[in-house]
Amino acid sequence: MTEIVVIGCGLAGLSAAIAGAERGAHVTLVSPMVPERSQSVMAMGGINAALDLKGEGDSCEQHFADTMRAGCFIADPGATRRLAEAAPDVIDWLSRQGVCFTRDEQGRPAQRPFGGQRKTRTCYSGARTGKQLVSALATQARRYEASGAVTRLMGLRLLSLVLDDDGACVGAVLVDPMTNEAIALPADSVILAFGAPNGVWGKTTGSQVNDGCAAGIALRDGLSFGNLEMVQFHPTTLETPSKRMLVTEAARGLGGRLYALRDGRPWYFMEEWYPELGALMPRDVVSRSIYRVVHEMGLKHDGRDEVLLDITHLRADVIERDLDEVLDTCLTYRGIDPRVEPIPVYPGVHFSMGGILVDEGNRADVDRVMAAGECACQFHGANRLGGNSTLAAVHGGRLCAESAVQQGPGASGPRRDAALDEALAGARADIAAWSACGPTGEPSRDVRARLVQTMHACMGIYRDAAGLERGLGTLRDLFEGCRSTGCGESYYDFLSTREELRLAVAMVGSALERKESRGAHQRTDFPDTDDERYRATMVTSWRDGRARTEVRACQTHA
Amino acid sequence: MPDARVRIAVRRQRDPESPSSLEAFEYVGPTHVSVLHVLEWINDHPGSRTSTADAPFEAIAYECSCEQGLCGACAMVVNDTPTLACQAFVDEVARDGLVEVGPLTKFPLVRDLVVDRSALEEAMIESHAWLEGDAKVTPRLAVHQYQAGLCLACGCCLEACPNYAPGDLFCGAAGAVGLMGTVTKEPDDAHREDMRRAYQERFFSVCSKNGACERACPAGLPTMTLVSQANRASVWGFWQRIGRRR
Repeated sequence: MTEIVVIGCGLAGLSAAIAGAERGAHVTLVSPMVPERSQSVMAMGGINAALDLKGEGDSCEQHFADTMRAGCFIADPGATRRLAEAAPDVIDWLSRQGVCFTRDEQGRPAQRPFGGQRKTRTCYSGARTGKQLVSALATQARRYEASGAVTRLMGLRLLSLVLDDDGACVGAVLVDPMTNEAIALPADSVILAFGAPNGVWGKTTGSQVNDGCAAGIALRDGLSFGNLEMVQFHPTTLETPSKRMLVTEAARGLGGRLYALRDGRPWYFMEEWYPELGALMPRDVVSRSIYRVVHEMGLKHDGRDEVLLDITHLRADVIERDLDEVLDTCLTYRGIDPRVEPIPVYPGVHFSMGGILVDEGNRADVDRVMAAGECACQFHGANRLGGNSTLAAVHGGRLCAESAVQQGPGASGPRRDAALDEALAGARADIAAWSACGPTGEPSRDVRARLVQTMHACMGIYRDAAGLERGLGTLRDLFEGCRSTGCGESYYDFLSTREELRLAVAMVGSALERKESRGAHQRTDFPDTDDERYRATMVTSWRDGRARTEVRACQTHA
Repeated sequence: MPDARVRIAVRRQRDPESPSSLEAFEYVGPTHVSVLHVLEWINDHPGSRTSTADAPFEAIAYECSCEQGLCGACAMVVNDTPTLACQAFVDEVARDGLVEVGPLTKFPLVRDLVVDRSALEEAMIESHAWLEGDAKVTPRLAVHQYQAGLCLACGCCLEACPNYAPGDLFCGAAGAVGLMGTVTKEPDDAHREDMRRAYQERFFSVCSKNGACERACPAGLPTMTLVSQANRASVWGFWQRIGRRR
């Protein structure tokens, strides 16, 4: 029997676990928290599939074309074509798993328009699509847990991938951050589905649990990453005392308009600049437009870096039903009633298009490691379409399981056991060493504050060489400082601070090497798109203590 | 809004075996902020501790993921009410300038405000709450199934429930809501009967319809309505069929 370890239990991890169990494998599902806490539950908008229910002549080909165009042609074309082609089946599969999609009069999943797409293609489940997807899949994972095909291990974080002498993955070491107890799990394949690296930004629209530590570890342990500079700023986020909260694209999909006050009157800049799609242009374009309005034209709202999102013309019952989360968030955290007043918004860090580089079968470049969901780099290129992240997570998770089952059992016996024993002993020694010296050096709180400040200073919506080089210097110094001293209030705090810094170094390094502007990566010193050199993947790996980035042609096997 | 001073008392406990104690802090800042925000602020401002203590401050342990009421991680007891710390605002919950924060009490304690809520999932496994066949679509039930899918598995309903004690077979509103979703979608008769039996044994025979679960639910689920739907699907239909067989 094939033994699969899945790290992460959001949409990608749950899909991988169920698909692995369906194919006869035994899956150990590992995560810091239960599926209900995963960032996937925060996905509001929907999930794309070219079902053409409105008779608009939509097709998988058009879904593919829209995804490639939005991603500025650096997504993996073969994998992306398969994603678009698989989407209708994904919706059918999810429906059979019990997802309560909102349905039309004929009982088919209803669809609504979303940004960057010319057709009505986004299926949804009321105002809580991600939550409904996770609820249904967590329920079905339970079925396999009861039969013994899935084992859940919650409360654990990735500590290292274990490779044998041939460089193939034979398992993983995990740690309970509360007790510092480490365990080693043998595996024929390890599927990484640990989500976004939010920690390097301090706070994002996403979950605090997705800190980026596991990504740093994967980089350290030999996996190559793609397009790490591609970070999506969601155009409409709302400032609250604790963090910037997302105002879903569905608000614009349902007719919400963006404006700034010019000479005391509303000026609908997106509609003037982009008459065809208006506020529903791809997210990178909307974010840059808001930046331009606020910073270059100086049209601030009450002196703050904000423009206004207006949904007051929508019917109150539509807002209450289809945008209830927007209504709740605005009322609860800011006392703003979007039924009668505009919502002040500004772009905020939302999604990483870059991540672990994987092939068409979601295989990473270390044998027997697969990745899916936001931690993987594959479908989204330089900018992701709304409704494609949930699709990519479910489809990618299922593909990972297929690949793992196809590869079947790997090396077992004394060599594997020795590699696992050695890795576990090393981890325990590392933890003991930290415990013996305790918190020393610069407090991790201060180190993290500098990491976050540096990332926002040099990796914002606009970037240039001087800022990126300065940022890279700071991050390298912080990383070196963390390696030699035991900063951190706990072992996991120490580990995650260091690994987030490693990832940040790789991100900024990748941004420095892409000397052009494309999608989410805008360089003021290289304002043009350079297709000849950079219609390509920036591949970053960690070698000899440094992040190295090279330009590689996009995968073109179709 | 001017900054205010609010006394915050946090129940601390290093591990399940250690004694618990209240530690006091003084929060200074704007007050329309969540209790979760204040916990984070305290961990960033160890000097805010006002209790006299010999030991250096250790960060308060709590669970947190989305910070906006969507994930259920930060359920705890704030001034005697089970709630999500991210949705309890200091200016709304403070009593005489004091906010007391403790862990949920009906789950095994791990540390400080962190508890082990795995009993929730175990109850669902033991109740066979999943689908064996392809989900049935029933438009009449869609709104209730959607609501069932919103359950955060946070544990607030069990904390508030007068009928639930740790270790009970009774699965509380979280269990009933989950079973309502699966029983009404399951096309496989035999498996549906399994779930109906579990529902009767683990919920229906114990629930006193007190309604505390509905008042406590941070997701705003109409638990009593969902329970009556579950009763229709799991109890009344069941007895009708038994009657017919006789």
